[in-house]
Amino acid sequence: MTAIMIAKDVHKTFVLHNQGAVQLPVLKQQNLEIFAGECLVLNGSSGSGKSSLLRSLYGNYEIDQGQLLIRQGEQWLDMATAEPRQIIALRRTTIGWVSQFLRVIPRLSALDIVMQPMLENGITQAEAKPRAESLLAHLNVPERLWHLAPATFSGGEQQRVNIARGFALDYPILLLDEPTASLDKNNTQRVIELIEAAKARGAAIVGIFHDSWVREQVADRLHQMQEPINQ
Amino acid sequence: MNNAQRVTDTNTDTNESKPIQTDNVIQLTSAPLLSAENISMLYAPGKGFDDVSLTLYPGEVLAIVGESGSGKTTLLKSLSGRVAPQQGSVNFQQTPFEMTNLYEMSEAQRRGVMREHFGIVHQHPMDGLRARVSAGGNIGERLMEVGARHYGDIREQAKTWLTAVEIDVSRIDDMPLTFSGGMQQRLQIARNLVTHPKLVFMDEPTGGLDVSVQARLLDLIRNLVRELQLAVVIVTHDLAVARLLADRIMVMKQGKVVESGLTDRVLDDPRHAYTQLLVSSVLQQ
Ligand SMILES: Nc1ncnc2c1ncn2[C@@H]1O[C@H](COP(=O)(O)OP(=O)(O)O)[C@@H](O)[C@H]1O
Ligand SMILES: Nc1ncnc2c1ncn2[C@@H]1O[C@H](COP(=O)(O)OP(=O)(O)O)[C@@H](O)[C@H]1O
Ligand SMILES: [Mg+2]
Ligand SMILES: [Mg+2]
Repeated sequence: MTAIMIAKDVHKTFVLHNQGAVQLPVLKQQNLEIFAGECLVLNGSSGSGKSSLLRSLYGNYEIDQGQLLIRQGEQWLDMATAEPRQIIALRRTTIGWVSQFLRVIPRLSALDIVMQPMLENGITQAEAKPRAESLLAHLNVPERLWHLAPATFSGGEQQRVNIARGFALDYPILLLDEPTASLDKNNTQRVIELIEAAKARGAAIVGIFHDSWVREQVADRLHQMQEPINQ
Repeated sequence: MNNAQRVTDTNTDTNESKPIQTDNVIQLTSAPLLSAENISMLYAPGKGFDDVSLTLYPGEVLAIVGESGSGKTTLLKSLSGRVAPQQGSVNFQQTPFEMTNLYEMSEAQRRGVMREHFGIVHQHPMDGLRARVSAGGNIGERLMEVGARHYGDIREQAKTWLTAVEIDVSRIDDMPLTFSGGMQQRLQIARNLVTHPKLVFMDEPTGGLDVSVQARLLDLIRNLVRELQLAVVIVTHDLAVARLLADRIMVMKQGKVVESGLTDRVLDDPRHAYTQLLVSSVLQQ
């Protein structure tokens, strides 16, 4: 089986120019292979660079060295050197993303937020709406909230809107950064179901999960981070 | 017990790190709409902009950010045909796959290109509106400039555009000076979009407005940009505006571009000292 994404020899150091040019090495010689239909879990203590690695796979952080290869048929696209518009195209069609916190366009309703990735891919309103509704319902977001902007929602409610949005399209690759961090056990279970379903349809998932019981349920493989480099 | 038993440490793979041959295969076939090559326009050392290059593709939104006096407005003027740069070239795709240097054509030709293909939204709406012409007239005038003649059609389009920018159609015969700042700005946007330009230049379009008015205007701009697939160059000092609207961002300091890239990459992982300073000065939202 061939990987659909490969991270090769990835290095990243933050340089905080306005704080005495402190250097924070976060990623060193990281190698990953990601396969369709399986969930790779990034494992390591807080501060070990899990989110930084995941963000690099999304093009949100820029790496200093290495390759971030995405398979495109017979060829590979290196996200580390891709143009912004190529990354934007990849995010629209290929790589889904669920972060720890909802960051969306202010004043859009929860339903609109979930529908947005579908509409951007040319899916009609008539098709997108029931799909968005069923995701929100699956995640126990109360129907009375669907038409409201999530700014005033609780952390857990916002997070579930965020998850619904991330699962709205059948992305080949899904990146999940602690999607269940602010959820109770019942809702976490709902997210696990979505992850299992995505795997079953062939999605490759890279995730970070705080709770070990979640990790144990969803992980096919673990990628162990190096421990934070103390200076 | 569960799948997690099949644990491997992918880091220990003795994958020696030979680069894989890559091809940038996402085929984005369209040719650039606008390109600037090494352009400079300095009124005095450090006043203006220096050695800027950029490429803009159809439908792309580029934000130019930086502190006051960093040369953003001057750059926007050079990109949009209003100030000839002292050096370098600004090229526009006037006909498919053919780039023409904006400043090598005659003044009349350049005006023609600007009239037909560009929209220019000024920071102060009255700089882009005609004070002695009604709201409907301000919109209709642009249509007449590109050849519309039928009065009834022009008035209908003016109404459609007033509605699109959320101005009550009953205000069609009112003078823009009787409008609030937010309405004037929306009218200026309607005046610019009615001719369906490919490329719109905006200079701090939400600049002088109250926060709530700003928010509504931003929503409107965001929706119009998406619906009409506009390419936009927007100057702003507000990073939140850039995050909301722009695909790409260019950070300017004292006339130089210090960092550019995908908007969320530049804002979440700023690499240049000045960008880090800008980002860290904004309250977390
Ligand atoms: N954008 C950033 N700028 C500077 N430092 C950062 C940035 N993002 C993460 N870091 C630092 O990198 C280290 C790893 O963080 P992170 O990747 O969030 O780890 P984890 O997700 O494993 O907790 C931390 O010391 C963190 O402060
Ligand atoms: N027509 C002009 N003549 C002389 N100096 C100018 C002119 N226009 C702008 N400047 C100067 O060039 C610098 C950059 O101005 P500007 O492009 O308006 O910056 P920004 O839009 O980033 O605030 C400023 O110092 C300004 O005073
Ligand atoms: Mg993290
Ligand atoms: Mg200015």
